[in-house]
Amino acid sequence: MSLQQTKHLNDDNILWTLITPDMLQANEKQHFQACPVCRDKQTSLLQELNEINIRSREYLPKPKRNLRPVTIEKSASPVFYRMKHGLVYACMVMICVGGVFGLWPTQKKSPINSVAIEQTQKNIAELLQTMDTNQQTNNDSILPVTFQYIVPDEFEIMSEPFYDYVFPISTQEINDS
Amino acid sequence: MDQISGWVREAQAGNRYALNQLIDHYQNDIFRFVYYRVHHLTDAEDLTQDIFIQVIKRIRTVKDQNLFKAWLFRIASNRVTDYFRKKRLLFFIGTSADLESDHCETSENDSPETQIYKKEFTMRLKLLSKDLSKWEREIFLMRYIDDLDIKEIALILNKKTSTIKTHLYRALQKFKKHKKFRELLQTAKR
Repeated sequence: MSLQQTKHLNDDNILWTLITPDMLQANEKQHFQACPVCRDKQTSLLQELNEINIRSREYLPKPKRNLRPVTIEKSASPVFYRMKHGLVYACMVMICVGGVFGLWPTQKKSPINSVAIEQTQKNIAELLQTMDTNQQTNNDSILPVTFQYIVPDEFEIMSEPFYDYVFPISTQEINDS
Repeated sequence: MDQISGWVREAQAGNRYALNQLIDHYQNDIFRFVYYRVHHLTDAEDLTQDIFIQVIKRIRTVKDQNLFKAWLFRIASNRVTDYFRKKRLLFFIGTSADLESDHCETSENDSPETQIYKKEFTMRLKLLSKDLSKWEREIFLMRYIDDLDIKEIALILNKKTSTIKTHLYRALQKFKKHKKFRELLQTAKR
């Protein structure tokens, strides 16, 4: 099969030769290898694409600073950092523990005084007995008989100017003097 | 490549010299990769440094030392994506002035002719990039600016080589239609 018998590669096939020549059929491959026109087309396109690479490198501005990241040298030894970190963690744990236990009540409840309870119960019993006795003797006072003569049951609260001031009664005028 | 994987192995073992060798070897490639995507010198410098900081932090996680280059470019690609995501967010909030930088870095040492070529080249490349879809643009730039082969691109983007080839084919079809860009490249060649 001569070169004249086969057609020139179309533009799409020329493009495929740039990407992957395997896409071409056997006769197209043969033609491409032998045909200077098709090869010229491909070479011209390839040169343009290579030119993009060349120009992109040439026109790339130079970076104004060092692109390598700066590594900071540690001035202290790792042991020091380990100890420092350990200390910080210990403090944090102590603060947390302190915070949790600080919420608990610290004052102990006083134990129940059984003697005081007994005494109170005794006093209440005596008081009740006194009231019973007073009721039996038709006495209105709640005080024990021995104290009734000291504090009279009825005393004139209204006659006291101070009490008038504290508990003013509308019907009675307050005597400022 | 054996030397690179040797450096990677040594850097993983904690050899700082090997790590510096790796950074020095790839810093121009990564800077170029970043610059032709963000088109901003200071941002490109910052991003390049960020990428190498991530490399230093994560180099122990590289399992196959022969794939270090793909791993490095994947970090770079992800970092650039993050940059645009952040910039888009700031643009919508209103704290970033421009979503795409129209600025072109020119040096004082450049001749006026070179400065014009530079500006024209950057502008035409941006126009072409706008014409391409996301994957077409990424693959075209990786292939013809970053000089990565199809297998490497497939590894970086985690895609099949056939997918890469298809996207590249479509990108080349679109490139063919940018006659002014092609003319510029032809004149620059002369």
